Amino acid sequence: MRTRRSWKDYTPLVIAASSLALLAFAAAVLRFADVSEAWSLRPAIVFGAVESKQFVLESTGTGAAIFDYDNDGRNDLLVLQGSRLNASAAAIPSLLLFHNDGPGKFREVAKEAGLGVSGWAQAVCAGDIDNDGFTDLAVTYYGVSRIFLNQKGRFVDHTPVSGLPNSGIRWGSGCAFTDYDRDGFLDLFLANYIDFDLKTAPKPGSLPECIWKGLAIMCGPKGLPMARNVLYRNLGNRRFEDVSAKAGILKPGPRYGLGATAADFNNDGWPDLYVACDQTPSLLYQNQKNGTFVERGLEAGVALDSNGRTQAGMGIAVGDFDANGFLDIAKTNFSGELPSLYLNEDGEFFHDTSEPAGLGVNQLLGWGAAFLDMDEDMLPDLILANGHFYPEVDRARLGETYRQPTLLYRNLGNGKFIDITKQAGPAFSSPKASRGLAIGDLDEDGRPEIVIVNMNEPLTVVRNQGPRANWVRLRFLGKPSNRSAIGTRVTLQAGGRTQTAELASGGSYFSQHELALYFGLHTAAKIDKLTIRWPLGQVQECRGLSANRTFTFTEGGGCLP
Amino acid sequence: MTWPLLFALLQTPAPKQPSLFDKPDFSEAKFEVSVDAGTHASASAAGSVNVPSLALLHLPAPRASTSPNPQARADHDEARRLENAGQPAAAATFFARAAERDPSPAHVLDAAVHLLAHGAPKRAEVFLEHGLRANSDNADLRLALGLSHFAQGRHERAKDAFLAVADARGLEGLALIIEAAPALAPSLIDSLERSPYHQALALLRSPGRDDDAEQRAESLLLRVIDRTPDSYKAHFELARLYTDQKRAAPAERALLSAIQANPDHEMAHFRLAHIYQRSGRKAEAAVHFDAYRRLHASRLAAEENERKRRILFIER
Repeated sequence: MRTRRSWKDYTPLVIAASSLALLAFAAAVLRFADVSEAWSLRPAIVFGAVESKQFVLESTGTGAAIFDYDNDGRNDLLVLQGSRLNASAAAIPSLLLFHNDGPGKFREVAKEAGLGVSGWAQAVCAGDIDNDGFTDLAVTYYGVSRIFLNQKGRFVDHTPVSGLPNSGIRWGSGCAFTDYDRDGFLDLFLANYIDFDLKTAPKPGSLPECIWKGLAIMCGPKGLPMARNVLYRNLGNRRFEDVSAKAGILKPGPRYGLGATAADFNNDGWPDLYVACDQTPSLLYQNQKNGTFVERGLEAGVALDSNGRTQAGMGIAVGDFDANGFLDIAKTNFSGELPSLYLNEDGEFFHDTSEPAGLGVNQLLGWGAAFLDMDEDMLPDLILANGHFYPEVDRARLGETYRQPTLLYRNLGNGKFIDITKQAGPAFSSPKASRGLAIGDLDEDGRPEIVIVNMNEPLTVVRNQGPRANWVRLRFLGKPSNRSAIGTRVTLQAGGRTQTAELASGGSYFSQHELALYFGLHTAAKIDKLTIRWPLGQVQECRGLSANRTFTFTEGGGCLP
Repeated sequence: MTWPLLFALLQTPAPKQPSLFDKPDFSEAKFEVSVDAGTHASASAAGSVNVPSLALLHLPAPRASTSPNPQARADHDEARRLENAGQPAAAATFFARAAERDPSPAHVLDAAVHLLAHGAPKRAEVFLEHGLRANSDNADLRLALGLSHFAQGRHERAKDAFLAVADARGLEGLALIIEAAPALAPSLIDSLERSPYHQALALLRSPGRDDDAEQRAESLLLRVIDRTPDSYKAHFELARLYTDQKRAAPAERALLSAIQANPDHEMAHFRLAHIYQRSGRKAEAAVHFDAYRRLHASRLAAEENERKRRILFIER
């Protein structure tokens, strides 16, 4: 007798067909190469000891910035380096600035550009603080965080006259430029990690908190004093004023702050702040439009995981992955924790969808993060750079490794992601002790590269060499908004879909993405409608723009460059 | 008896019997206690899953020895005394001695559980492997071995060890695997048919779970609740599912049931507070946020206390 088959009987066939489809997709679309060697971007980034770290200071690593420092139209690359304990002054490396001499040609020019500065550098954020048309930098340090003023392609250390502290020891971590009071000048938010003094810091294994899964490891952050975040208001004369107290930044109390970014999460036109905090609740400062902020991370659902457990937040990606018009947050966390994927429901509340979205499949120790539409299918994919905190983990046979792959998750468009790291090849899957991650177009083809800063190893520079669908890259010049146009919100309609993104400073982990927005357009040859909301609120609409080119928009200007 | 079964039986080697010459060799499990318990009684198993997992799997704390070997009994008694006196490093030495003198399952288990509880899974594994060579059917040893693999991140091997335990504790071990290594969850779905709750867990944690998986999980959890209305775990899982599906009203009901069954369910209070917050019921949200904060603080304090009680055998 023949039995009637249910569709479930065909499940294995469906799975096999899906796998084949994924493989076919991978073969057709995914082709990535690490071009760091070919492009002469191979310095080993110095940060602490290689094999066994004595202090937590040696573990947090650094970031990178992709920006055009000399306005020659090509993106350059700044890479931060730290130091080594007990290193002689001569042995401490400086920042690295690679001038882009044309596609695939880079030349290190930090000293001649005024950035031959050494120390325990941490994070970088970029923005034009004096609206002179040249992009300035904030670089956080363990020690004194610095502002480098860009004077027509040459940087000067502006810190002593900037209003920022020029002495003492603080552990600056993530930073972000943002015009929080909408006065046309970029203000500066600095997260701080630990109140930490190398002279008095406990040695590995010397405190209960300095042991992890039976390993004597460096102490911290737990057991060490937390630090406070700082907001500096730009007074418009290249000077800054610490407004942390009156702006409400200090109210939630100290945290172990790491990654930081600014974005308008509730679509009210005013930038909010988000700080990924290590082992303490992360912070969402909602802008009250009157120079103050209210912290509502716990209430909004972005402070902890979906069950109220504290995570070790590191890096941040911001993007509208579900195309509902509100910016979502991805946050990287410690190993054994899921990366967070906070879906912004309505600007007020978020839902941690990391598990149903499929991100639980890997629970690595994450740092840099970015949403980027790798296959130009109009859905932002997710990139997460990873690497363990403790090099000692390799000796412990705990099922974890110090070097870990960078994960690439493809956005399936239904709220779910699929891990395509292996199919993406060794540029992603080769394990490294990665930290910062920045995206930006380095070879002038309009398609962003991915720069990953690896600790005590050469950089990874991933070039997407797969076949291309349609795309568009958008750049902005603000006036009267801040010249860098940081905070510009773009809504793009094409091919029956709407995409939303915002130009941001800081973010990822200690890094600065190129100050441009990149959208995949799939098969759409034209943008039906592009809505630009400039930082000061002016709205501009453009229709019928062609695909596959870079546009530069000027505030108050027309739609065609 | 069918031919394949007969053939399989013929292929199965006879269980190895312990012999007089099969002297336990725990040399690999010997350790240098690099931290003085007296000065460092607070050294901890930070991040270790061992202590809560031991309780979860109902692995017993060392009990009085009934060994016929008086020296082994004396060593075991001394080990327990030292442990109670807050000298777990010294206790470990005496547990090991007792197990060497009389490698009974109870002695081996006590030595291994003691090591697991103090964050030394690799060393525990040496005892357990030996114990299982002579007592392959011992569920306690098998569970402890699963836990030692689990603590070392060897989830596949832990899964096999837990699957070999037929009782409810094996299922709890598998639940640990499902949470820590969701990639293994799909491979467990079929083998968890005997426990609808755990099968639902595997379905829900599986990467790429789809609507069909969610429907199956929901009906499994409802079946559990039908049979055991006060299963706060099932209510809570159901609430998680409903929240993911943006079904606030049933999620709220499930969370209230979870809290009714277990008023100290920290995570249920947290989730319920968020549901109320979203629907503008701020006063009710505040009540549950407060409950969450209180329970959270008290759990952290208890964990910290536990950490301080435990020493570790530190790898350098």
